[in-house]
Amino acid sequence: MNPERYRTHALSGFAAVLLAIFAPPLAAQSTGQIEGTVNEAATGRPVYGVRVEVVGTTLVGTSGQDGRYTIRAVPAGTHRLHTAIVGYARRDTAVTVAAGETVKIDFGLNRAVITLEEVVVTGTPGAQEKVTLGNTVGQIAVAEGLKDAPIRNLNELLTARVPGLTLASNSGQAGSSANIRIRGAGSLSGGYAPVFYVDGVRIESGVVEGSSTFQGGTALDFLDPDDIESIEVVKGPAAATLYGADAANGVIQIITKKGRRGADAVQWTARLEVGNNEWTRSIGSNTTYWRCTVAQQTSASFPGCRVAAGNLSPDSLTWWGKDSDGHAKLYSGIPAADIIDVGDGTFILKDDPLFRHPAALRVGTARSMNLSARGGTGAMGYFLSFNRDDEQGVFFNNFANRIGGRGNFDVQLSATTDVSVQFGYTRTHLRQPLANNASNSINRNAMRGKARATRDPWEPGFLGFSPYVSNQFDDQNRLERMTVGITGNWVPVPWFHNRVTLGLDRQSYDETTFERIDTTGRAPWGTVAATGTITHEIPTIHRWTLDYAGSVTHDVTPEVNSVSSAGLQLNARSYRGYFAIGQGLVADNLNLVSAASTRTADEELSKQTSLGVYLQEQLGWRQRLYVTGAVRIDDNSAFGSQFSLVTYPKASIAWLISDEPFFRNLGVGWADQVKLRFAWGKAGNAPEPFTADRADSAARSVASDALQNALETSAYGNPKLKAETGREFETGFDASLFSGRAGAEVTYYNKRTVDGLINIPDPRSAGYNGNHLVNIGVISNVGVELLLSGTPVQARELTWDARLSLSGNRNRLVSFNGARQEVVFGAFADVQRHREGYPLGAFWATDVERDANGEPVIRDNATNAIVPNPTSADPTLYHATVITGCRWAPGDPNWNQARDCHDIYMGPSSPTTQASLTNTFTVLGGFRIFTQLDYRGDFYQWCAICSINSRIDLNTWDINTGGTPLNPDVSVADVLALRSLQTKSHIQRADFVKLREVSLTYTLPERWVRFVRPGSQVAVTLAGRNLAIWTKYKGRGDPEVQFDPTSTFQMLDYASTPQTRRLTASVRVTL
Amino acid sequence: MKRKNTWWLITAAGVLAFVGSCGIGDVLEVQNPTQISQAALDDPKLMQVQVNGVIEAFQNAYTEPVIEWANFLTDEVLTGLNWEDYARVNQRIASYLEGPTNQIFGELSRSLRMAHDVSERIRRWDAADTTAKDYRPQLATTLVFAGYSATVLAENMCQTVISPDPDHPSSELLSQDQTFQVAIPYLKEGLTEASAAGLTNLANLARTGLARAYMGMGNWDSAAAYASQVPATFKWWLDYTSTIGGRNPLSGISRGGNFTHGIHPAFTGVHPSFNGTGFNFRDDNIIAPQTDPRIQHDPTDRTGHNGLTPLYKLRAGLRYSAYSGKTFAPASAACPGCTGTPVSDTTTFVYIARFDTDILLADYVEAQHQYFEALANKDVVANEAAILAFVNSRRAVGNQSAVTLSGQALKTELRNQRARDLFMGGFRLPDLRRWTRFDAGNGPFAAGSYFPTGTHPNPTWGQYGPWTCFPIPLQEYEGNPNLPRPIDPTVPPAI
Repeated sequence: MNPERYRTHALSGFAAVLLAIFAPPLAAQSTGQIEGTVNEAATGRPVYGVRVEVVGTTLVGTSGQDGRYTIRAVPAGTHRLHTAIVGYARRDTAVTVAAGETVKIDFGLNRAVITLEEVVVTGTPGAQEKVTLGNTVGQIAVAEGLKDAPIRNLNELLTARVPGLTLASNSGQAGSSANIRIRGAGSLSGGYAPVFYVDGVRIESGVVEGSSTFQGGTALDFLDPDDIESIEVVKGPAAATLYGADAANGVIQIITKKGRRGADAVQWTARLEVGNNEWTRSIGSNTTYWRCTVAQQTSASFPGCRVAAGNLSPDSLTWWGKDSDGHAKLYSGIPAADIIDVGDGTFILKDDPLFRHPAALRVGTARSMNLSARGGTGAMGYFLSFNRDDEQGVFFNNFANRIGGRGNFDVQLSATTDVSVQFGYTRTHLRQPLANNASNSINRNAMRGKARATRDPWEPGFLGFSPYVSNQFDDQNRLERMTVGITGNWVPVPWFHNRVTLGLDRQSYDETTFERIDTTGRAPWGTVAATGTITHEIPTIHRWTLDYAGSVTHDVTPEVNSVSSAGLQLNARSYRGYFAIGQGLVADNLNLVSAASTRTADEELSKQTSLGVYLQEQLGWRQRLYVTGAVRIDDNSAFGSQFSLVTYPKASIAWLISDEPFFRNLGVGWADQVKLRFAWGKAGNAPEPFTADRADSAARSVASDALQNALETSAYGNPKLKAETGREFETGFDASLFSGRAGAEVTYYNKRTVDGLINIPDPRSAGYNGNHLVNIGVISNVGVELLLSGTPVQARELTWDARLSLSGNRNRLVSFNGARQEVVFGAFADVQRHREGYPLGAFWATDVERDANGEPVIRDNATNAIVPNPTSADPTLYHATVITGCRWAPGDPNWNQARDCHDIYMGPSSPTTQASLTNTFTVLGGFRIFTQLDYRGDFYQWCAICSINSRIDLNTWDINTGGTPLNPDVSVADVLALRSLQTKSHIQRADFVKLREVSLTYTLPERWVRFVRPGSQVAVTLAGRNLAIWTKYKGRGDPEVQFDPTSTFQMLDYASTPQTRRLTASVRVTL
Repeated sequence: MKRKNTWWLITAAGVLAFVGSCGIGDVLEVQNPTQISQAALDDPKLMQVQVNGVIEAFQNAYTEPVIEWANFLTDEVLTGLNWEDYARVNQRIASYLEGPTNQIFGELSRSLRMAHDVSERIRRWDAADTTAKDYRPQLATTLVFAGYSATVLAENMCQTVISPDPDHPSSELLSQDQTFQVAIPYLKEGLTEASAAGLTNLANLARTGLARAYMGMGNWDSAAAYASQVPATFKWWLDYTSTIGGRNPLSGISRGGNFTHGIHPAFTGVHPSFNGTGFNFRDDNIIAPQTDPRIQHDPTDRTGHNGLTPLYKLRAGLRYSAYSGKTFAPASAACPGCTGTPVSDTTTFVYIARFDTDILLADYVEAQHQYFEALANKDVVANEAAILAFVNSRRAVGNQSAVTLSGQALKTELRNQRARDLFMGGFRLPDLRRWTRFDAGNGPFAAGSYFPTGTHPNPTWGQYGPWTCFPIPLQEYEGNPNLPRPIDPTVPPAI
C-alpha cells in the first residue's frame, strides 16, 4: 500500500465511519474517472482550490497545492465540466467518460478580477452564477486573497472589504465587538445588523455581555479566519428576499474550507504567528493639565500645587512612574518638566497618567497557531483544523484566548447524492477590563485626572481608583461554541436539484465576576463586594436551522430556459440563562457560590421561531437575459396576535449586454463582459420575542424580612406588531475589461424601510414604565457602490493587483407618520436626534450665544457658568454665563427662547463615504507585499469626554491657558464657552484615513522545500495593522471606535480604547 | 421519463404543502414562562400575589425615586453624582426631558395603577364569590396603597395625569390639589375596609395618609382630625431584606467607592433663610449637629462620584430600622443636653441604607407632626402650649435642651424638629412646597421660597434654578398622544 495513502486513511477515520454509514452502492463498473491539473495560463503556476464540477451532478473535484484534481465515479457518458474559483475566468469543456477508464482534462485559467461565471450562495439550491443575478453580491476571497493579512478575527476580516458594508469597532480591546451595518441603518429600534450563516446554518452574531461600562465580547469570535474559504455579502432586501423576515439588513454567508474528494493525499498547512499589541501615542491625547491658583498653592486640598511651590516636603506627594528600564518606581514631588510657569504667580501642572503609570498600559503579546489538514480519499473529502489564539490587550486585565477546531466532511454517495457535515467547536476565554463610562476604568480615570494637583482619594493624577485598583476588576467569560450542519444535495435527474440543511449553533458561556475580600479597609468596590462576592451568568443559546430548497430546470424553448425553485426555512432561537450570586466569602480561594453566606439564583428565558416558504421562477433567454421573480411568505412567533403572515416579493433582470450583437459593433472590444442588472425586492426585520404581549411578571415582595411572591406589570405590548419591511431597488453593471485584467462593479440602490419598528415609551399614566414597539417609521437609504479591480502589471517577475472599493450612503429618516415627534438621545448630553428629514442618530449641537464676530457673548447676570479667577489670591468666584439653549436658561431675564433655543445640525454619526484601497505586489515570484488603506468620511463624533474635561474636570490645555499669554488663540470668552453646556465645540468632524494593513510575505523557492514533498510551500510574513492614522479629529480618542457595544445609534468618544497597533511575524508551511 | 419527472414534482410539491399546512401553527407557538397575560390575572387564586405586587411597587417607588431623587430638589441632601440630569435636579432644574422626573412619575403612576386595578379585580371576585371568604384585608391594602401612591404623586409632581384606561391615556392634567383629591376616596374607603376587617395598623396607615393628603391641600382641620386618631404605638414599615430582589433600593446611597449623597449644609440650620449669614460649605461646623441622633453623617467629607462635590456621608437616623439610638460625636465635644455616652466609633452607626434597612413610611411621630403643624397653621398662638410641649419633647430626643418660644419662632422650631424627625423619610419636598405655598403673607418667610437659592455648594454648578416640583416626563408625552408637550421645558408649569 502506498504509505501516503495509508496516512491519509488513518487521518480520516471519522470520515470513513461516515462513509460507511452512508456507503452507497457505487456502480464502479459503469463509471470512470476524470483527473488533471489546473494551472494559471499566463504563468503556468498551479492554481490551488479550484472546484472542477460535473454539471448536472453533485460530482466535484478540488485542485490541490500542485494543481491536481480527481473526480471519481463519474457515470459513463458525455458530461460538461466547468471550473469555479474567485479571481479566474471560468473554463467550460465537454468530456466523454468510458466505464472503468480515466480521462485526463487539464485547465489553463486566465486571471479575471471580475468574472460573471462565479457562483454565489443565494438561498436557492445549488450555487447560482453571478451572471444570472439581478443584484450584486459582495465577495471576499479569504483563503487566497487574505491568507497573509494581519487578521485575527471575523470583524477584522470584514473591515473595509466590501463596498456598502460599514464596520465600526467598539473598542481596541482584545476580544471586543463591532457594529456592522450594510447600506446604512435601515431600522430605528429593530436592529440593523445583518444575519450570519456559516455553511447555510444560521449563527448567533451579537455582542456577548457588553455594556456602556464593559466591552464584553462578540459571538463572531468563534470563527478562525484560517478556516474560512470565502465570505459573501448579500446586501439588501432586493437580494435577500429569500431569507425572509430577518434579512432586511442583509445576509453574510461564511463558507468554510472543504475537503478534496478523490485527492488521495492530505495537504497539511501550519501557520504560526507571534506579535504584540500596543497603544501608540499617535492616536488621541491623554495629557491632562491643571492650573494651580495662588490660593491652591497653600491649600491642603491641592498637594500637587503645594509641592510645586516648594511649600511642602517633597515626599508629601508621591506618584507611580517608570524608571529608565520601564519598571515601576515611586516618585515624589512634581518634575520640573511637568510645571509650566505662567508668570502671573500661577503655574500649570502637566501629566500623562496613562503612559506614565506602570500599571496602566502594557504591550500585549499575541500568539496564534493554526494547523489544518485538507484532503480526501475515494468519494470523500475532509478538512480538519485546529487553532489556538492567545492575545493580550493593552490593559493588564484584558485578554482573549481561543482554542478550537473544525471538521468538514463530505461524502459522494452517488453521482446524484452527496452529504456534507460541518462541525466547529471553539472555547474562548475572555477577560475584559472596566471601560468607557465605567467610573473606575483606567482610561477614564486617567483622562479625567487633575494632573497630580488634587488630593485624589487613591492616587494623584487619576480620578477615582489608581490603575492598581482598577486592574483588580476580574470579569472572565468562558464561552463554548459548537456549530453543526448537515447538508444533503440530491440531484435525482439533472434538472431537479434538492438541498436540505439541518443545523444547530449552540453557544454557552459562564461569565464570572469575582470580587475578592477587601483587605484595604476602603471597600473600593462597595461594602457588599468587600465581603467577597462571586457572580456567575450562565446562558445557553440554541439556534436551529432547517432549510430545504429545490429547483427544477427546464428548457421551455431552445432559447428560453427556466429554473423554478421552492424552499422552506425554519429558524428557531432559544435563550436560557441562569444566574447565581454568592456574597460573603470565607476566603478568596473558597469562591464557589455554595461557599458564600448569601446565595441567590435567577433564570431568564426567551424563544423565537420563524418559518418561511418561497417560490422563485427564473427565465433565461439565450443565456444572456435572465428574468427572476419570487415571493416569500413568513410567519414569526414574535408577531402580535392581530397579525399573522407577511409576504415578500422580488423581481430582477440580468442582461449580459456584451453578448448582444449590437454591443460588439460599438467598438468596445476591451470590454470582455458587461452585465446590466436591475433588482427589486422586499425582506423583513422581525421584532424581538414576546414584545407583542401585554403581561405581568413575577416579582418579589417582602413581609417580615422574608421574600414572598408577587406579580407586577411588566410589558405594555402591542398586539398589532409585525415585521418592519425593507424594500429596495438596485441597479448597476458588472464589467470584465481588458481580457480580465480589470473589472468594475457599479451599483446604485434605493432602500426604503416601511413599518419601521420603533420603541416608544409606554404611557406612564397607564402603569407601565418601559417601552413598546410600534410600526411607524419610514427610513430611506440611497447610495452608490463602486468596486474597481485590476491587475495593472502581470508579468512573471512582477504582478500588481489593485482593488478600490468606494461607497456612499445617504441615510434619512423619512417619516414617523405623525405618530411621534423626534427622538432625542445621547450619552452625557442629548446630542443625537432621530428627526424627520435627517440621518438617523445624526448629531445636533447647541452653541453659546455669539456676537456678530462669532465671539461668545458674556452676560453678567446669568447663571450657568462660574469661572475661578485664576489671577486672584482670593478664591472668590466670578460669574459669567453663556447661553446654551433651552435646557439651561433658568430665570435669566435676558433669555429669549426664539433666539436661544437653537439646535444646530452637525452631520451624520456614522461614515457616509467609505473607500478602501488594497494593493498586492508579487515580486520575483517569492515576495508578496500587501497594503490596505481605509478611508471613512463625512461623519462626526461627539467627544463627550472633551466636554466633561472642559466643564467638570477643567484639565484641558485650552481651559487652563485660555485668556493668558500662553494661549492667545483662546480668549476668556472662549474658555467660558468651553465650560458651558454647549456641545458644538465637541462634536467634531471625524473623517480619517488609516493604514490598516501592511504585510510582506516571502515564499521560499519551491526547490528549497520540495525535498519534504513536491508542491510544498513555506512562507514568512511580517505584518502590521493600524499602523498610522490621518485625521482632523481633535478629540481624545480614536474616531473609529465607539462607546457602547450594545447601542446601535449612540455614538461617542468617551475614554474608549483605540484600535491598537499590532505587529506580527508569522510562518506558514504547506505540505 | 416524463412520468418519472412528474412524480418528482408531485412529491416535492406534496412535501412542501404538507409542511406548510400542517405544522406551522404549532411550530410558531412559543411559551413564555417569564410573563403572565393580562387575561390570566383575573383569577382569585392570584389575589395575594397581586396584592404583594402592589405593596412592592409602592415600596420600590417610595425609596429610590422619592426618598432619594426627590430630595435633590430640597436642602436635605447634596449629590455628587456624575450623571448630570440628576445633578441638575440637585440644582433645582427639573426638565421634563430628563430621567429623574420620569422615574418619579413613572414609578408612582405604576404603583397607583396596579393598586387600582387589583382593587377592582378584588371587588369583582368578592361580588361573584358566594362563599364566606373575606376579601376585605386585601381590598383595604390595595386601597390604602392606591391612596398613598396618589398622595406621594401629588406631593412631588407639579401636575399629573391619571389614566383610567391603559389603552386610552387621559388628556386631563390634574393640579396638585386635584391629585390629592384622587387620593382621599381611596384612603377613606381603605380606612373603612381596614377597620371592618379589624386591621388596626392598616387603618392607622390610612389615617396618616389622610392627614398627609389633607396637609398637602391646606385642609388643617381634616388633617388634624385624622392625625389625632393615630395611637402612639403606630408604626408602618416598608419592609426589605438583604436578599437580592428584596433589597432596599436605597442601598446605593453612600456606599462603597462611588457614594453619591451627603447631607446639605443648609439643612442643619445654617441656611441663609434662618440666620441670614450665608454659609461656606467647607467652613461650616457640620459636626456639631451630630449630637442629634436623628441626623447622622460622617465627620469628614469626601469628594463624591463626580470628583467635585464634597459630601458628608449619611448615616442612619431615627426613621430607619437600623438606628441604634446612640449619639455620635467625639467624646471631647461639648454636648449640652446629651444623654448617654457620646460615641466616636464610626462603625457603630450604619450607613443610611443597608440592603435590609426598613424604612418608616408612617408612625405616631409623623402623625403628631401633622397634628401640631395643622394646629400651628390654624392658630399658633392659641395652641402655643401644646405645640411648645411637643417641640421640647422632640428636642429631648435630639439631645437638645428645652426652649421657650412662641409665635412664628415656635412655628419655625416645629418645622426644624419635623425636618430632623422625618429626615430622609420622603417628606422634605412636600414640606418645603407646603410651607412655601401656604406661608404667603404670613411672617418673615412669606417673601421667599424655602427651597435653597443662591449659589450651589458645588463650586462649579452655579446658581440654583426655580423648580419646586417635577414636571410630567417626556415619556408620558411620547406614549400618550392626548397630551400636548409644553412649549418651553425650562419653565415650571403653573401649579
